[in-house]
Amino acid sequence: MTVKVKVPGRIREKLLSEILAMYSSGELSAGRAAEMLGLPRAAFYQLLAERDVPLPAKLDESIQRELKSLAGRK
Amino acid sequence: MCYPEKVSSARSEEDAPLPIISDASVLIHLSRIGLFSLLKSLYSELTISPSVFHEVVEKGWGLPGSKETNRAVLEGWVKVVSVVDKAESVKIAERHGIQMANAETVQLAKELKSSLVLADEEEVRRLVEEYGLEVHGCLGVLVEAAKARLITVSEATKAAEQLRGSGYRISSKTLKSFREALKLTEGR
Repeated sequence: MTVKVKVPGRIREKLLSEILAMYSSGELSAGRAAEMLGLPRAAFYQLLAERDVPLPAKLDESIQRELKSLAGRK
Repeated sequence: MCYPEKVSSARSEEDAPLPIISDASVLIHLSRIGLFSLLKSLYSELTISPSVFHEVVEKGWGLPGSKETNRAVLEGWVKVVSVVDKAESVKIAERHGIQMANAETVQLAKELKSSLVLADEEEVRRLVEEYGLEVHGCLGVLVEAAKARLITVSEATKAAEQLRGSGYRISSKTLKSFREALKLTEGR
């Protein structure tokens, strides 16, 4: 049985903002956040672009380490 | 859309080059900036798990990465391979509180003794590094492509700017590290 619940727009917006904040703080991965929003991953990335959401700090740092290692390797 | 009829499993012959595994993020991000084909030029062959195929192609049909990945599977240079030890993938997912698709990417990399994992999901990168495997994200791919002269330094820089505007908003510090890594490729 499927139950459909109509969620008011302001609550949807709150949920969306909360999930994006959790993604940005590193509490949720992109995959998990997309899943929670019921979006395919590519649509989630589109959403991040539209809302100008930065990469989570841990991911950003991990990419930085990778680039430094690549630079060190020459 | 193609549905892989036969999803291969288990390790290939001993002499075969070590496979390169990708998660969904890199396939999607590079497609978004029109550079998916770099993956073929740079690595010749990629392996993905059925979960990644599902996430990018089936669930995301019509969105960036879906048609590119589907075509690559049809052309045979992206292989869809199932993990052998599914129970271990479940354990990884539970133990680290990560998504099943990400756990499968990590498990696949372990089982196939991958030489490199392409991922821009922190949880995949962290685990892959814990297992002693090398990991590259989109920016690492761009640096390698510039090193291999597949793209120029200025094309790589432009691509990084495009990525920043398409849901991959790295910090200025990371952009600086990227530029430094690229600069070193110029003198090669």
